[in-house]
Amino acid sequence: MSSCAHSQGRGVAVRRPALTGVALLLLVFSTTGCAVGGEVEGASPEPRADLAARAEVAAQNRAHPNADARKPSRHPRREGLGSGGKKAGASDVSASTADRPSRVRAARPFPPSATTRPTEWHQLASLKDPVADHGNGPAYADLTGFTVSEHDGELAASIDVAAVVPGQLADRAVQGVGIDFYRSSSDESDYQIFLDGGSRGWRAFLQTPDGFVDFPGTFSVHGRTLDVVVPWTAVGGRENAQVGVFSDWSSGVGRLSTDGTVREDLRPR
Amino acid sequence: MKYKVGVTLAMTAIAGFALVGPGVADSGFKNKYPDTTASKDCGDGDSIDYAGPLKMWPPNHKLQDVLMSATDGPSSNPADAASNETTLTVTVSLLDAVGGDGGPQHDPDFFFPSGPSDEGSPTASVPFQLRSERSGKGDGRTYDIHSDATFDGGMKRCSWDMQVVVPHDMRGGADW
Repeated sequence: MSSCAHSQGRGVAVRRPALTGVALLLLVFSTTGCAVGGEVEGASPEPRADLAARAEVAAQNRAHPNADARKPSRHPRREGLGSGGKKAGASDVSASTADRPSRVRAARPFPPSATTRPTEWHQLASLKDPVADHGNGPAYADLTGFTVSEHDGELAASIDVAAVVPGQLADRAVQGVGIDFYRSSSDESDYQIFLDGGSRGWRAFLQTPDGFVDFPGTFSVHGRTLDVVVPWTAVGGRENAQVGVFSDWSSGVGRLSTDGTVREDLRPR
Repeated sequence: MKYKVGVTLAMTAIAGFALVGPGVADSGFKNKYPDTTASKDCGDGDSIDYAGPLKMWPPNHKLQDVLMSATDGPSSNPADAASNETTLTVTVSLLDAVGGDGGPQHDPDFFFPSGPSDEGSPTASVPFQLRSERSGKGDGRTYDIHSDATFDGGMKRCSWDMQVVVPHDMRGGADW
């Protein structure tokens, strides 16, 4: 489905009866390709899965056992090793076929990870977070590092955790990883990339001051790293900001963990 | 009503097709749900209307804009039609499993930027924000939203209780 077809679905959700005819037209256009302008969120009493992008999940993450049952690890680096003994995040990356994507974007090169990112990517910020400071959750919910880089109008954010991230979480287990961009004096972030993990896999959302919008970038889960690449324009442009990360995890039956970093200055200029 | 929703669809053929979608007048308050998603029929054409999500997702700790409004509709009853003065007061409460919410760093859980009450003719509108946050220890979060409206210059009263949920997870969620 093209992004055009996606927006068609949104229009139907806005005012289904009134736009039935238009939706039919859009359906025709979606098969031929089209561009969408004048983005406006529509009324929908239900959440909008179609605004999110599914993660590309590395083989080792897809093969992860029932991670929910795992206890926090005191040896995150050992857990970070892939099945072949390779360092996590360095290989075995492929698109997940376990779940049918809710939509498919135009082909883009798979985003390089923080460890394999070519040198032309310029690192803007890098934070370390203590291991095992996250509470009563699995090690993959424990933030250990965060890196922001840029290259050619794009911004890459890599979140490292203490264990291999499951491509799909156990039933009822949920994890939310947020990257907040603060561009005003408000305590509330102005832009936020939210990585939503659950039993159906991972999705990436982008919330802007105008609400949730079509996620404009790529999202991958590989080894102990969650990698996101978006255009600078998607998070307010290539201007100074502050950035912070959090990770929440819950089993749904009493186990919880939260972890987060302090805000870090982002100064691309 | 402060929100005038215009549907301006135009199609242009420029190297394919370009589409300009539905437009919402800029009222300053960025409600992403310009259409009513739930209503209370108060009789004689009067109603209380909610524009916003009934289920909030993802639970990203952020405040989401919603709108409650009360409208004195047209009526054939001369007594009812004599006045369109309307008032609206909204209260929000929530109950989470103890210790399961996002903690004080994500307070407040709801916020009325213009206050919880309004009056107008024929519509009174109360914009507010609900935080998209779930309890990690239970089935999620439920916001209980109570609205008290008066119509016809206070001659008629109408109340409505509705709920907005932030589920713990999306099992069974449509297209999820």
